[in-house]
Amino acid sequence: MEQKLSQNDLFTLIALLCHGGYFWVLPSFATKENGSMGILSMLLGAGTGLLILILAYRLSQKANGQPIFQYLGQIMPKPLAQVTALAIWSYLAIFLILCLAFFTEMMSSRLLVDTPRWLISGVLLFLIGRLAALGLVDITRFSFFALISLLFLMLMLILGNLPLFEIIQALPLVLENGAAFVDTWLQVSNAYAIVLCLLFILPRVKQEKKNLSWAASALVLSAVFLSVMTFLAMGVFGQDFSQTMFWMHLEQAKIIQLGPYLERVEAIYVILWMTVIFAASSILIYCTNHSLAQIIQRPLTVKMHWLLIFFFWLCCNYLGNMEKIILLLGYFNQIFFWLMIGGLLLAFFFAQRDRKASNL
Amino acid sequence: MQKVRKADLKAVTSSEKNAEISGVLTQDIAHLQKLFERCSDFVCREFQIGSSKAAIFYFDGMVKTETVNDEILRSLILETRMAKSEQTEKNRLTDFLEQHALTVGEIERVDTWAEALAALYVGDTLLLLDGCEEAFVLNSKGFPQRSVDKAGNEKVLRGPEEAFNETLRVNTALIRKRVKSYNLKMESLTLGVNTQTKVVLAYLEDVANPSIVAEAKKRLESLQGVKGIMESSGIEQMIEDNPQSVFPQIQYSERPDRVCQAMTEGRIAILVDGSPNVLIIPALLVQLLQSPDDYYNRAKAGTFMRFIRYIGIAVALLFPSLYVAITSYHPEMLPLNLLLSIAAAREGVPFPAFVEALLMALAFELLREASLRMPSAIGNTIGIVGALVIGEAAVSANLVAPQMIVVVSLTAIGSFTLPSIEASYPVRLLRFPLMILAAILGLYGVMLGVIAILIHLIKLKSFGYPYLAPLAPLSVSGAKDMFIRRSRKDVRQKVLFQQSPQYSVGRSLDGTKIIPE
Repeated sequence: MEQKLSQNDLFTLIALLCHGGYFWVLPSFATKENGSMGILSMLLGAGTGLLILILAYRLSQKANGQPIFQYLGQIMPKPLAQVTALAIWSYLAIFLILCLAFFTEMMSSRLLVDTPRWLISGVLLFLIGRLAALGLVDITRFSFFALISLLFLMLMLILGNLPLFEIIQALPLVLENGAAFVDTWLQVSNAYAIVLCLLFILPRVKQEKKNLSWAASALVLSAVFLSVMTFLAMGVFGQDFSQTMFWMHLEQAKIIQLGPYLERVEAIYVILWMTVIFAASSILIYCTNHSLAQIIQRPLTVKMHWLLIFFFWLCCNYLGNMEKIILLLGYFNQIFFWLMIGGLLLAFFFAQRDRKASNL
Repeated sequence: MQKVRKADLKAVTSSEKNAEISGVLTQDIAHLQKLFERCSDFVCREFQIGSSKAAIFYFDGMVKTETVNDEILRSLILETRMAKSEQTEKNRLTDFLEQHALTVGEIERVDTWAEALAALYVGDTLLLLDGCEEAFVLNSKGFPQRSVDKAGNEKVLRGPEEAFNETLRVNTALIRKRVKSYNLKMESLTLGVNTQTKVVLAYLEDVANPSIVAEAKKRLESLQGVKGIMESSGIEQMIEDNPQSVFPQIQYSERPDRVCQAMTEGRIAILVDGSPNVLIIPALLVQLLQSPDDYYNRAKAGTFMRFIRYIGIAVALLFPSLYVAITSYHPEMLPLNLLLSIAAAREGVPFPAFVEALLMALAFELLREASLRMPSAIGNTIGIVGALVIGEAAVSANLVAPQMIVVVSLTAIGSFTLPSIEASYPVRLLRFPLMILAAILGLYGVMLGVIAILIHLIKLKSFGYPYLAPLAPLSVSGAKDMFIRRSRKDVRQKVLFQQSPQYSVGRSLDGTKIIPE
């Protein structure tokens, strides 16, 4: 008998997806041009994420438990369904590669300067692949521990920064550059659009009322937490200085002191954060690999799973420095995000038409 | 008397299995003597009952001599002399013997050699009569056995002290003594072609999940072709879900109170003849980390001890690797004074922290192994003297820093807080790969190691139940008793394992290994 996930599990998975991906760089993207107003763009981006979540939920409901791409094949012309599926898959794959590349870059530049990047990303991907291979039920079990780490770390960051927080440093909230604000909003929307994974998760969740509310509350809470922490960073470091930081939360972690005995605890922070990265990446790998298996209409074999992991590892290593990562991120924001949105809207349109046709 | 059931006899060789007793005494004696030729402990005693010839068979040392002499031979030879001649006529002899002559408590008639031999092997006496195609199985068990003793490996400060021993019936009695209910079922199986080991599956019918009982029976029955089963550990390794894992998926206990408590929680006990360790299935990680003492003491004290134990496990598993990682890769995390003190102490030590830690951890494991193998009187001395002398000498010779002695000692003490030996092995074993990872990748490596262990634990199941339950998957009611020792009322009423177990699947129809959804 197939094991189904509960609403708690759904909450955990969505919360981790929202945090695991861009957590380290999102505040820097949001505030670089906009200062404290960047927080508003973060909240607006989360709003866009919420719309995508609702869209994915409705689409998944219409699919009624069958694999989403199989459903698209039934309601859309075959070539169009394939293109839509590929657009969604490429979004997921590039998102995954970017997440892994960001984390590897951070580990490499901050903690393990002399260790080869291929080793850092290799061991990381091997274990993530191992977890993803166990299936969504086991990923969710792992995610429970990651969620505990996440809550602990957030609390640690907030409590550690609060004594140094001065609201005056985070003010004023002025919109100086409208274009930059819109640009940031889209960037943040792109990050939160990963809730699209709901398309692949929902068929494994018990069909209950309020599934959407649980998923949405996970997204909203994540956005609020992230905004609070970014605002905290503004108040601690000041708007001007914060805008020069790339790993803003890392700097926030650096100033935490655990009594007179342990200082520079950012290493512990990053290390504990790994559980969150692990959970989020394994959910992403699960969705990416299973979606590809749906596209080629074959079961996801172990061999295929590991071949894809190897491919992601190669891509992650190819992005050997921050310059290349940012370049890919640019393409991602300008092309793949829109392709995915277009595909999703098209699928929704056909699903609606299909419903109307069946009503007639 | 324990019935010699046909189902228990599958392990007897096929030639004997269906062969029936001929009823011609000389032939039957010859058959048995051929089977047991060169068996010096096999006894065959022929005698006369009235006009009929008879013989008894048994293994010397397996039977109670008094029973054989007084209740079997004396009865058969003397009592039948006083009987009327028509009572000892061949056609009425068997009934007469059963009703009037034999004074042993339990008698059974069998008609195949397989049943007869199975009885002989467990210490019963076999009576054959000329002209009778049935054999009497007379209960005369009297093999040597240890008396009920104190538990040696699972000591508690309060609570009962008696422990199981090697005799199956003593062990079942110790359980029956505590669980006075007709719901306590004890199903018997015979395993091992050569050893014919009796195994009893004990459970509370009203609490145990029938699917676990069925699965346990299925797994045990699959062992019937095994040549020999000497001890419960042999069974344990053959029926657990993942025998390659370092984590035990079956709990064992030598304490009847612990086994009975487990049964009231819906778990199943497997008792093996010849083993003082009773297996308990399913076993979750949290259960392996709990001690009966937690419940015999007051709730607050139990909670405190539990926390101390969890800290002990964390220290035993992680302390050396964290020391290696922080001193080698992240010294900036330490306060300046501590850092300077470590640096000063390590001055002159020719090895990196990793080699130091590895040497000391290995030395400690050597001492532990040596003290186990030595006679108990000097084993402790070896441990203490070895630790003191080697530690002191290693520091004096500048082979290791004094801090490393502290780290290794704390690690050792931490590993001793584990309530069961089987739970301490994974901690001892996994410490080494974690140290290697710490030496290669610092804290990142340690965390990778911890995550790898976590992934393995998440995958692990014990008879279809997630090993990390009730934490993952989270069950709030189940997890209540995990960290904080609940009141007796709450704890005693908890019944786990009511959900259906989930067994691993992972192959498509054509047999290809697939990733589960």
